[in-house]
Formats: sequence, C-alpha cells, structure tokens
Amino acid sequence: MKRVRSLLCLLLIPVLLAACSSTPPPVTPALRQELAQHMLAARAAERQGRWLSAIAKWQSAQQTAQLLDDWAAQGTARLSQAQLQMRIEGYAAAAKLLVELQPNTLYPEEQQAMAALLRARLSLLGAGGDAALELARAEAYCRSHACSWQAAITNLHARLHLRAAEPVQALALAQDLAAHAELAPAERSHALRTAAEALLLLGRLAEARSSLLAALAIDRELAEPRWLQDDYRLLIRIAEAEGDTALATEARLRLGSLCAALPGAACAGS
Amino acid sequence: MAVSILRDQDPRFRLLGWRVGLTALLLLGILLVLAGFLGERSGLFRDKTRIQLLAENGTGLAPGLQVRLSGFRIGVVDDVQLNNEARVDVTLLIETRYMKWVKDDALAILQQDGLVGDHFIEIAGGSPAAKQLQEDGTLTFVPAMGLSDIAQDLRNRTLPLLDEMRNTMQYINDPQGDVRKTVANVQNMTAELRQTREQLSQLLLNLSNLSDGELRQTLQHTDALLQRTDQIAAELQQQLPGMLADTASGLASFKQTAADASATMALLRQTGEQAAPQIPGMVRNADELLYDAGATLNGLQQSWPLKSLLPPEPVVSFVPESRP
Repeated sequence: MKRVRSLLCLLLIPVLLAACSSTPPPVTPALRQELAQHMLAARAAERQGRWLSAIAKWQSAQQTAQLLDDWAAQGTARLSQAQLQMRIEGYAAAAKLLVELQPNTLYPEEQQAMAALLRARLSLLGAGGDAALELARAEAYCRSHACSWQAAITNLHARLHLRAAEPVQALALAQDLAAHAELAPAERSHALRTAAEALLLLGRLAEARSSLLAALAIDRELAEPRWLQDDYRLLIRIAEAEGDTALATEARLRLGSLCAALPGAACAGS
Repeated sequence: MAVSILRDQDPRFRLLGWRVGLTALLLLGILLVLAGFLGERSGLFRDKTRIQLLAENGTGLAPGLQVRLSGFRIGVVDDVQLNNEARVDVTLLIETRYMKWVKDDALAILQQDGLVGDHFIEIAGGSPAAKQLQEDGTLTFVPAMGLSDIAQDLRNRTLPLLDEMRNTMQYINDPQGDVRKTVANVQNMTAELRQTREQLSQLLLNLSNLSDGELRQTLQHTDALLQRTDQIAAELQQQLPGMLADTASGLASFKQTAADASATMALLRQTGEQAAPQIPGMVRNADELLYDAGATLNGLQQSWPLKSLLPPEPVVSFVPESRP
C-alpha cells in the first residue's frame, strides 16, 4: 500500500509540474479591455455622483466602442450620457445624443426604445417633441418583449395625464405602480410623488401629504438632491393648500438649503 | 540498536541494490523528461541565430533579458561584454524560425514593462523590402530613455515657448510699450475732442447774446477751435492706422504664440507617433505611463486580499429612469 502511494506521488509530481507550465488562457484584445474599463469606471463614477467624470468616461467608452464597431456598447454609452446630461440639465446635449439613436437600426431595438423613453422625458421637461408619440414607441417594444423598465413607461404615462389635467387617470396609474413592493425604489418614489400631485389636484390633501412623505422617505434613502428639491416644492404646495404654515415654512427652509448647495432650474423662483 | 539485530537474510533486503538502482533510474528518467519538456517549451532546443548589438553603455542590459518582436518572445540576450573602445557588445540569440522578420534595417530598442517592470529588447521598424539579417549581423541599438531624459527633452521644447509668451505679456504690459501708449493716446485724444465739443456747444449757446465785435472775435476763436479739432481729427486719422497696426501686431504675436504652442504640442505628439519604434514604450507618452499605472492598480485590485476589501464592480447594463 505504501509503495503504491509513493509511486502515485512520484507520478503526480511531473503531472503537477506540467500543469504549471500549461498554456495561459487567451488574452482579451487591448481595445476590448479598454472598453470594459471605461464602462466600469463610468458606472462607478455615476454611482458616486461624479456626473461630469461619468460623462467623460462614457465619451471615452463610446469612442472605443466605435473603434470596435460595437453598436450595442455605443448605444449604452450614448443612453448613459443622455441620462446624465439630463441630470445636470444639459437638455440640448441629451437631445443631440438621443437623436443619433433614433433612425439607426444598427443599435439594438431595446436601446432605440429606451432612447424613445428618454426623449419622452425630455419632451415632458419642455424640450420639444411629442412625448405621447415617443412613449408609444417605447411601449410598443415592451409589449412584444420582456421589459425590465416597464415601470418607467407607466410613470411617464401618469406624468403625461397630469400634464393634460387628468388627475384621475394619473392617480390610477401611479397608485397601481406604487403598490408593487418589488419595484425599483427610484420608480416607486416617482409613482408616489405623481400620486401625491394627482391627489392634490383632486383636493384629497391628507392623502397627498401622506403619499409625498412616503416618496420623500425613499428619496432620502436614495440620496438624490434634485428629487428632494422636487418633493419639497410639491410639499410647499400641499402645505399651503392645507393652510399648514408651519409645514410650508419648514419645507421652504429645507428647499432653500438644498438650493444653496445645488442651484439649478428646479430652484428658480423657490 | 535496531539495525544491528537485522540479518542480511531478512527477505526485505532481497534485491535491495536493484530496487534502489531502479528507483534512482526512474527518478532520473522523470527528471530528464521534465527537463526536456520544459526546455522544449522554452525553446531551448530550437535552432538559434546569433546577432550583435553595439551599445554606448550597458545600463539595463544583462544576459537573460527577453528579446521580443511584436510583443512575442523570440530570443534572449546571451552575452553582454565591455569592448576595447569602452562600448558594450551585446549578443542576442534569436530563434531561427523568427529571423525572417528580423530585417537588417530593424532597430533593437531597449524597453521596460511599465515603470517597475523588467527590461526587454524589442525588435522593430524593419522594412518589408529589406534583407533578412544574417548570422552575426549587427542591429542598430536604441537605448532606453530615462525619466530625466524625457524631462530634459520636454524642458527644451517648452522653455522657448514660455519665453515667447512671457515676452509677449511684457510687451503688452510695458507702460512705455506700443500697446499701452496707444491706448493712453487714444484716451487723451478722445478727452480733448470731448472738451473741444463742449467748448463749441457753450460758444454756440452764447452766440445770441453777443454784440457784432464780440461775435467776430468769438467766431475767430471758434475758427481756431475748429482748426484745433481738425488738427486732432487729422492726427487721429494719421495715428489710428499705426495704433491699429500695433494692436494687430500684438494680436498677431499672441496668435503666433498660440500657433507655436499648438505646433509644439503637435510636434510632441507627432514625435511620439512617428518615432514610436525608436522610443521605448515607457516614454511614448504620459498616457501610456498612466495606463500602465492604471493596469497595475487594476491588477492589484483584482488580487487577494485587496479584492475582498473593495466594493463589488458595478453592473454595466443601462436602466432608463423616468424621473426628471
């Protein structure tokens, strides 16, 4: 038995040594590695709230993807840049990035639908275009494919109803959406905020307040200053409608503090 | 003593010599097979061609350094010797099967893997039409450029540019210089014109209250004033082109400086790109250095235990948001 074990050991040594000198795995081409690094760095910058750095990284990623003739990666870079530009109120730049995606069938179909959704958002922000038409384009894709971002479409539909002074329809969509516990927090808070605005328009002030406070709690968790500004502006309107001057004053103070740290279009007139 | 009580007739000692010999032979065989296997993999038994380099100094050169072609290892540095002229003879052993790509006009460039990596010799720049280098042929050697050399090179290129910019700024800011004088002159003349115009207005206002004699006298005064105005206007007309030319010359100088800066940057970039085969990878441009540093950092981040301390890498897929 001992001999067999010794023999096995002797045979094992050359096998192990041969294994150590085996061919290394194939190397990914340098440009591919560069693209992956740019994309990861861009997402990391986004996560840390460094919007301008993230945009620069996405630009590098887009350029590298162009060199690789990788249209899906180019699409991801363009969409990400457009969304970031919208965050920093660079609406013209966002529109320009999205226009490139519109007629080009080289981009994946899902990315073209996502671009339509972002164009609808831009349109709702007053940048021109037909929000309803763009949303219909995005929805057409989600009807025939599994769409993880369906909630965003529903939220924008609710916003469209609000803009058309149809608070009942907006409330139905938003409340239905907010009832889904598994929803992404960003979309859930948006649904709650839209519901609060619809309830305000319907004169159901206590419910509006409660819905908005729930949205505020999520937005605090998400640490999104612009969304907090948006929430506080609505809270001021609700408090004024309720005649709750203490709440309105508190909301103004909070909004003022946010605006001092992050001025922008949302703070105009606040 | 256990050994002393064992007898030679013990059955375990039978054929002991043969068994020991067989085991030793088996081990030797395995070692030889292993050595052969590893030698084959590292190209030890492949046919080699000897070529020579002549270096001014032996910094970074040592036997055993890799010789690469297009990033592939094709040979090693066999020997480094100081010759009678106090220069360094370097002998390379190149695998003969790769010699078809080593042309006699190729360059042997001493390079380094990153900032802290090993040196190696890169063979590059051979033209396809040139002949293949023969056994014991000599390649042109390009030494590694140190950081101090790069700094000196950059300094030599940028200092004249900075001097030119400083001179231009001094020329503009000089109180006795053309630009400042021109501006001061224009200001003075404008003030004089304004004063003259005010005097004329005053005179015209008082005209109705004057007697004939006074009127004549006043008109003479007015005539003198008008002549003075004409004179100033003529002076302005005469000097303005010169002033404008001075300003234009200042602007042209600025433009020239900017063009020089642009040209220098273009030259630097062009030097990096065109002379790429002649400059070690480490010094082609600062981007590559940063890239290497980034790659090293990435490598570190990927290794245990740092990997476990870092946050997970973000997901790259895009998710659209609905909220403005």
